[in-house]
Amino acid sequence: MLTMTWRHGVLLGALPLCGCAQDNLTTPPPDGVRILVTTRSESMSVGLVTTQAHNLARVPVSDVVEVGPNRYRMTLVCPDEASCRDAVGRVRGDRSFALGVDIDPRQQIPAKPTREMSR
Amino acid sequence: MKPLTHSIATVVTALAALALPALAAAPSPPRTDGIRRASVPTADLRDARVIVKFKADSALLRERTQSARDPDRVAVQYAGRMSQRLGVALQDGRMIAARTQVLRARAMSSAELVARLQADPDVEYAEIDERMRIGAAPNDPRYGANQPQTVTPTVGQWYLRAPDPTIVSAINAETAWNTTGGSPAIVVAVLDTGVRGDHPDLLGKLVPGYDFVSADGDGSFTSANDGNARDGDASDPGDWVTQAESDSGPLQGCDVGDSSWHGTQTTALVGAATDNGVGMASVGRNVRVMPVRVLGKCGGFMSDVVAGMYWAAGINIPSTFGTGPANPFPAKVLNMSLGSATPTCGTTYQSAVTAVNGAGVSVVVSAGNDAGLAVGQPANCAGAIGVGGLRQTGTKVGFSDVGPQISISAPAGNCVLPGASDPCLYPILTATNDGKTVPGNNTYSDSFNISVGTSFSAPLVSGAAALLLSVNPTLTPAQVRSTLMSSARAFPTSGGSAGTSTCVAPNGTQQLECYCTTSTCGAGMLDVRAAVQAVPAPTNTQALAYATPAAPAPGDTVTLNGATSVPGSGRTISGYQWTMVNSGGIATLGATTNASTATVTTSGGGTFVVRLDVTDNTAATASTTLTIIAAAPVAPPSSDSGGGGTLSWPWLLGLGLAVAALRPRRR
Repeated sequence: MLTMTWRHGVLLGALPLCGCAQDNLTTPPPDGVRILVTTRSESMSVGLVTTQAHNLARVPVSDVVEVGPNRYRMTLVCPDEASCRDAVGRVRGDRSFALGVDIDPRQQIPAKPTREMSR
Repeated sequence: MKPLTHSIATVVTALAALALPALAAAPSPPRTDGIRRASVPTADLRDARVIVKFKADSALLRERTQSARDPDRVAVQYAGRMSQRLGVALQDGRMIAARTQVLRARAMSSAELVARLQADPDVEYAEIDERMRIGAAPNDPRYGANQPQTVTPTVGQWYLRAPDPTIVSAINAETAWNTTGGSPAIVVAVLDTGVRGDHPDLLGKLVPGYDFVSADGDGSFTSANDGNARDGDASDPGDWVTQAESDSGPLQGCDVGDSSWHGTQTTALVGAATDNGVGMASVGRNVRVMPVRVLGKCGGFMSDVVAGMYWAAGINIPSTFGTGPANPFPAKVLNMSLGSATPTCGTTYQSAVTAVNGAGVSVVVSAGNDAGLAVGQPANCAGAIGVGGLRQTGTKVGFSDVGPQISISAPAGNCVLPGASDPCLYPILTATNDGKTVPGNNTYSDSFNISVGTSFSAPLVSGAAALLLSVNPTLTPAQVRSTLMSSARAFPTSGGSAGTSTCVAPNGTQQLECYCTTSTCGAGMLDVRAAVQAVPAPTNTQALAYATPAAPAPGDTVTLNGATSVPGSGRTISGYQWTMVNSGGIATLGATTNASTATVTTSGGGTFVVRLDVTDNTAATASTTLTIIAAAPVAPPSSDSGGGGTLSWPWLLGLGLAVAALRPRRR
């Protein structure tokens, strides 16, 4: 049974991305930051979303997948925290493209309780 | 997508094996209404009692209703005429519905009379008028109290029974089953680590699911652990994390641990085969479960979870599945024993919950195990049914989180004697696997290998929600939630451990056992009997149907069953009619198309669609369609194969065909 706390995802960057200076991505993984974008336009192709996200983020964009209506997951390939924060901010800043941008955090099975906590 | 390997064979084979080899050996096969077949008294063997329905265009009816325009409105009985035909002295019993009555005979068995009636060309169907009895506990050996010394917990599945002063929080499922045993037409999606579909308690209980675990950011499948990204294989290959994986790579920082088999545990609580003489019982009894794999090693990403939510609810994801309905078995309930500790519900989750609710699907989520901290997401999303955890005494169990977002609480398992080597007295017994890494032997959790956590509270509520929907499939998610909450029993204010205080709003510090309040643990303790009894019958008759097996192999005969259709309030169902909408060139409907069951023979792989129209005694009609994909099963996996595998390309091809050509009607 996994014993890792399900707060792990927060440490990976689930901190609120409010478009302001508090963005805290901690140390992004070496391959960039994984985000979820809600697009303003409906029925955009994955290719078009990739192109627009790339143009806005000004970093390579990979792994674009539609996960729901108007909702796309993608990885912004940025080398460090500062560049990732800037890239995310640029995508979020264009409201004609993105209604919302969230970090894509890990979700967990709730940590298995210890016996002491199972009383 | 990985080519045809094996593991989903776990699921497919289980479904194909709906010929039920395991159940066939069971002493008492479950009925679809969930009420156990009574043992037949000797007297019944001598005195036949049968329900018979005559064909509308039968010569028998024509000669008795010459002056009537509508034979369905003429309450004539036929014991006399049938006595002459069969050479047996028959007596009329009650009229059941149009052209349907009870017939009795002495000195012969009911089965013999059924056989003779079925041979008559004017008989639409005949079946034994069985004696039903109330309140029988299921015969699953691990269910009952007072387990033999070799079995733990000694209290068995205490959480399903009627509450008493010892098991205050027990959910009263056993008595609820007098009202409904759950409909196989109601599907609960379990979004989790996947499932070991070869577990003997899950055979025949799963419909095909999907694996949404995608590649890691570095392009590897380390988290997925099945060698591929999304595919039709929802089996659980194991989610163990090694020290090396924790040290570097995509799982860096993840905790080292053995495989959890978490999805198998939660699935079994919702829908393990019940009253089949095998293993354990489940809350949902006859409801079926759709495994949706969204978690792998070290959990999974929110993006994969929400994709699974949309898909499970039948909401299309065009770039993944093309246009049209992607899921031939849209669920009515999603169980999500997962989440993160994010204290507010983010846009992504809230949008998904709202959309899923909008599709008529309830979302049940565990509160979390951070010992009294605030409920995380998605349990804290509006529209979700957040579920907290209780001890057997009804107090909040130490690990459960709290908050006003919790709708209801249910047993989560707890250890009364927490010494390191003492048995845990009140854990949640459920199905699991003993493999530390790859799958080993299917087994059950017990008082030493314990299952405790709000992960196991949520499936109890999901199973209960499925029972409510079996009674009335028109309930909206809001009605399901409000019914569960309004029927819940009040939390106790005494009976906890010495020194137990009242739970308080989350304040960032842990709080262990405490007396629940409605602002910290939801409306009360889940009471399944009270909930199902609070559900009114639907206003209008509802057609519900299911196919067995759910995923047939080419050449299989598929049994269609519409007996789970629900009559409107004060009505009875008087007729069934099956129609082949699209045979796909592979399916042929059997000769009998106007009974509650029908058969379809398949001649190859592909997709076919059948429709059921039901008519009630007011001549109102309702209909539903079934989309069925016949695909060749793949070889079953060895138990130590490490999982992986896929649902086979024919299934996916069939899925694609269904997506492209067919639009099943949502129930």
